[in-house]
Amino acid sequence: MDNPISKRQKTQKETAASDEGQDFISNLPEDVRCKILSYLSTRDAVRTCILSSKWRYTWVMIPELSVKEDDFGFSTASEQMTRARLVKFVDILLYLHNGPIFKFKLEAGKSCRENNVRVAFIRWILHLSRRKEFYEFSCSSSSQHLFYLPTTLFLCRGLSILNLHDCRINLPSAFEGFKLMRVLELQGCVISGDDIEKLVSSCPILDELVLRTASFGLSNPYNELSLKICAPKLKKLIIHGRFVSLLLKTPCLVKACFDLEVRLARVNGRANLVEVLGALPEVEVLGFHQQFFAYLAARCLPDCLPLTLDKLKILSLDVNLASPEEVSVMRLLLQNAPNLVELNLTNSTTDRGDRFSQTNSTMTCAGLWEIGSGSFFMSLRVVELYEFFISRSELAFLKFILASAPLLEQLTVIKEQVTDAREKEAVVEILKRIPKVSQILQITLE
Amino acid sequence: MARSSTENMITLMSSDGEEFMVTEKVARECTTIRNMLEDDCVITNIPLPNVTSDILSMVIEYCMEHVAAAEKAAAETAEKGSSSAPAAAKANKDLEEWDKAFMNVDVYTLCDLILAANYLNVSGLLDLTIQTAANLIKGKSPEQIRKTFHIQNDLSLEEEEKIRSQTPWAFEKSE
Repeated sequence: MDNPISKRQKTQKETAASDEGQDFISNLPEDVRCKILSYLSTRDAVRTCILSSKWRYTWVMIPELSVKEDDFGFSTASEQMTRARLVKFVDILLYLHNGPIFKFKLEAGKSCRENNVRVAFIRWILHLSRRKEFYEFSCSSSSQHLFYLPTTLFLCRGLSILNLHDCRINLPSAFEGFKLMRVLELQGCVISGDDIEKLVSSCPILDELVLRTASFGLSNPYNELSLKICAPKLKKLIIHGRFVSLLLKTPCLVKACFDLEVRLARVNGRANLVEVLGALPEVEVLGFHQQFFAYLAARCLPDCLPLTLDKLKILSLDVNLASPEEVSVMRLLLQNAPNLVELNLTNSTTDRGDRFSQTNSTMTCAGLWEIGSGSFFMSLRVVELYEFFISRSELAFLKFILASAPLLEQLTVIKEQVTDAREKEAVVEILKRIPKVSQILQITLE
Repeated sequence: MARSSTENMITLMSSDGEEFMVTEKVARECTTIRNMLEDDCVITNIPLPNVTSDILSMVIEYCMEHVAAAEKAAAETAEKGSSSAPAAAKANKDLEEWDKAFMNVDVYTLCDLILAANYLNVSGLLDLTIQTAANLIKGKSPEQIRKTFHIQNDLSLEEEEKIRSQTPWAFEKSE
């Protein structure tokens, strides 16, 4: 074969002579032209309808529809006009559409509070629910104007991906489940804990579940998560909100992230570390963020964890390194994760006292990192530490980890504040002086 | 192509009769060919009557580059036990740059490549070429698009007006 590059130059020259002025793109198969349009915004895609008679109806065959309110609000259009256009457009699109529709994505913005849009929405969903091939639906509005999700959506039995942002969801009593649902994502939605439980447990092959409540701070009861999650095939779980209670039956979970605010006064029900970890025998990536780890640690001070997290590779923790109970539970957790590769820690200490403070609890915490005999982390390669300010308790942890991870490749310390060059130098000096067992370690300070 | 002799070689024949010797691994990047090989594993000579030699050589160039990149990444992972994130990110970026340079072609070649990628079912190349074509349409007026792709407008003025009036918002000028 000759050099392809020289060949290409030849190709271009030859085609330039013989194909000049020929319309190649219109002669591509219709499904390919459709695919090109599906990479464009709705507005750009629709505009191709006046290119020529061949392009007249190409846009009504796009199998993946994405409709944004913003696309309809050009120039001086009033809100009312924008809404009218949106409704008319989707009506025409669904009426004329003569191919399969796999995906429908609607970004409704403010329109969703208007009655005519809501009625139209019910009509569209009803239309889509009759299409067997329809498998992915996503819908978002704005957090100020929650979208009332029409219950007809729950008739779309073929759905396998459902992504809802800022919707108000009421499960119809006659809901028969989504037998094919794989990915379910609810963000900022208003839905009761019972409905979440019912929805999740009626998706027998659910693979991925993301639950994020609306922004915190508001005394909105829907920010509070009182969850029972029973999903035998679930691989990935992300929950974010205010913790009230949690019960997991998720034996296949590989990736789990609990980003939970805890206000003890609101906590109802119980959860402890042994229970939570016991529900995750297969977990490879695990994260506890905000106060959730502190909450679990406070409720569980066993001398040993009755289980080993053999598969755990990546652990992310928000932990208070000046709290003896959190530190001791964290050390237990590390010792029970023999195959850990990556550790990400954010120090959530609120006490930013003197670097060399010798209060009782700092001393206790430092003592907890005394290097035991033969506890080595043979797989640990990457450690990232956030919000560190090189306190006594942090140094004790650093000494422990550097003395027990012989294959550590990368240690990154991200300091709480950007400090001047002199202080940075001093910290580098401190880090250098810590004895290390790894020969290949690189330390980065940011 | 000088390759290790243990690898199976496949001959691909273009519509104009030119022969291209490639490794089986490279040929398998084309799902269509992979399916043929799985149906009949002794096949070594595959005629591709829909693809000219110019375009076929480009498709092969693309597949070779992507196979090489995947092999390199796999070798690094095997060597270190786990792939290091920064190195993987750099390799990805290099490949993206290569793709971008590869897409520096005229619209005729681009359309031919789309057809070939569609026929041979090379998903990466199909995505790349279709994205490139979509970029040439994005944000352009119908007149500009017609000019770029030499599309003859066979609609009468009245027809055009009628179609425009169905979705007037799509044709308003954005500010």
